[in-house]
Amino acid sequence: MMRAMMVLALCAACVRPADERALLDFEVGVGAGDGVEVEVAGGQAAVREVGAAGASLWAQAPVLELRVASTEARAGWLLDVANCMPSAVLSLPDRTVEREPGSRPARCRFAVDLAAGEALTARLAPPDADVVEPFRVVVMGDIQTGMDDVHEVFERIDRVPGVRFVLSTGDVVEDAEPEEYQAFLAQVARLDVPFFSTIGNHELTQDPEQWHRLFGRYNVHFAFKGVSVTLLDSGNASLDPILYDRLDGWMEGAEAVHVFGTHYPPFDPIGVRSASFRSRKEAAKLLTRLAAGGVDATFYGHIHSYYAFENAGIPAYISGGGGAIPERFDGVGRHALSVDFDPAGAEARDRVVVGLVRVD
Amino acid sequence: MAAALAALLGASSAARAEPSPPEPDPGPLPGLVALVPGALLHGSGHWVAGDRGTARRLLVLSGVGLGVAAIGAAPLALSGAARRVNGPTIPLILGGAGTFTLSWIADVYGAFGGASLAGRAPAPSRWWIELGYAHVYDPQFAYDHFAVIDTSWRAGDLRLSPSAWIATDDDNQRLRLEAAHRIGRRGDGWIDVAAAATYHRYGSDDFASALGEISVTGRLDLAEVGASLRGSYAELTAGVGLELVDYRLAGVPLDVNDLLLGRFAYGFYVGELAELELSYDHRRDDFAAGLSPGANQGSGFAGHVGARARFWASPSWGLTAEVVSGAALIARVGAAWRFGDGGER
Repeated sequence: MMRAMMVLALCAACVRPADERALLDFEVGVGAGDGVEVEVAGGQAAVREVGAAGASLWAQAPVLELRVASTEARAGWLLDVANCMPSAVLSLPDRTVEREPGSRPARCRFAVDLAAGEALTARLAPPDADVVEPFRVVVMGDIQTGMDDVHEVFERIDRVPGVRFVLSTGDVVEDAEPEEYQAFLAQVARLDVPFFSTIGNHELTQDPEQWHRLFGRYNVHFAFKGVSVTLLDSGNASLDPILYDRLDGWMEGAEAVHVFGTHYPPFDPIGVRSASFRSRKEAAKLLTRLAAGGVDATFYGHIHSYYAFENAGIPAYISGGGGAIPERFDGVGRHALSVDFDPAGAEARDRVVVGLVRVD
Repeated sequence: MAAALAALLGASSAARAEPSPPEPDPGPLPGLVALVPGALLHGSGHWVAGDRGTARRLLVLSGVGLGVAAIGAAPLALSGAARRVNGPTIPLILGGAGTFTLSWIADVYGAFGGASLAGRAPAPSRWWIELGYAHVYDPQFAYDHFAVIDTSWRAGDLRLSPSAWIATDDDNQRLRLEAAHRIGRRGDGWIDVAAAATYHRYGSDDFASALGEISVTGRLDLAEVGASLRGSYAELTAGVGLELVDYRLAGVPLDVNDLLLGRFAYGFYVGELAELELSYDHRRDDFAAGLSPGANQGSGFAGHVGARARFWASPSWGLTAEVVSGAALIARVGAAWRFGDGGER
């Protein structure tokens, strides 16, 4: 009887393999230590470390709303935000705080004074964050075995004019070894703009919670300059059912442009290969929701090449050219996508314009 | 798939050509050997049981399966799953993996003494009607309970099989019609070509799909491989399908996708009273869809696995049960009736 129940429990876990990760997202954005508490609204940053001297965060959105409370007065308390927007300014209710000198563009460090028993509220954002106007990002995926040379991809991205940040559809690492994550952190520190990412299947090779500890959420959603971005965790070739409720809410409150990304394409354009969601019916369910929700474009990875197609009438792009073992004979090689947003565009094809950025 | 089927047929020819082997001695020990070291060295169980001929044939079959899978996997891996390479290679991988798996299960069956079950496929009936209930646990969708109707009409080499799954707690209906023609026979084995059309409506999720498919299925009576495998069979299926997805939203066009179909199964009979079949199905367009090994890496490649049992309380009626594990868990029970002469096996 017990054996039968174990088998059933295991099977049930196989039916919802990503439920624990979906729930972990709700724990992101808070941290405390040495009488200091840090809270990031919406879990938009991972609070890696909090102490008497300062806090270390990893940003997962271009705009962060912060709340810091301390039991004691602390002068020169250091807020260290990795993966921040290069032009980000820390705005307090009554003033702005200058960045500490010597940081890389995507690493923001600010020294603030904390009053005992009073919460400090602050906003870390570029000055034009709320200005609805055209801007450009880059989308990429699937670094994996290309980690040692990914700085070449990042250098190419840095040469794309006007890029504000990078969106990644996952498979940053190959085997999810801790050393790979450290190598990625060293490489991404060379990027002049932040790197906002969800996970792919390779992040699950071992200890999936490494991602949570280092970067925070598995599912990323934010708004910037009239564009909403949603990147969801499909590392198990499926979205956990919880995420569909969250997706519905995000689509309802979306800006003029809404783009969606996830690692696995719901349908593989090469049907025989089927490198896609593990259920074609769930794939249809997702695409129905995205079409009904007015999503303007979808971005996927997992397939190490470039494909441009349509699903449910929504432009779809697969870009897995971050350096992983490539699909041969496709004439593409390592690449990323430049994505130009224009929230005022009359047609969907004007609001999101995608171009290929070749590295090789 | 054709290569794997040829290997199976070749093994059966070899079995018929050999002189009668000494009487093997199956039992728990040969069965356990077939399970554990035999998982890597197929035929080990038969070897321990003293049936060296069948052991060798099963080993050869497993080698053929591995070889065919490797022939498919190598260009796929070297090309990075290139779009023009998938079509020829993935069917080889499926056929090879199927042959490898089936040769292991056959070793387990025969080494434990499955032939003593004295099973034989019942004579085909003209009519088959099954009425049943299925519980489909899929957290992605609202349904749980289905009324299932499965029917089959056979006349000579022709078979028509309409079926329906109707949700009782959600707006979901799956209707399917399959037509098959038997193009070859060998003992209790056969080869069928089939065409099927499936319409599946997800009313509460605002989409529907229509699928057309063609396939070839071959069943080999494994008594042809060895007397110890009497009463069991191996099946391989290969096919392709074309699916239209209708999103049922104003202004949203249809999506058209092609799919690869593949299935392998091992079954055995207990007298003419019962049948048990274990299967792997690569398709991901049905309720079960694709397996996930859990929270870690490995999802998105496989289809689903299942086990089906039939018990005949009388020549004309019986009970059926099935469990399937994929993206959904399915448990199905039913009552079946069969009558009329369905012609040659």
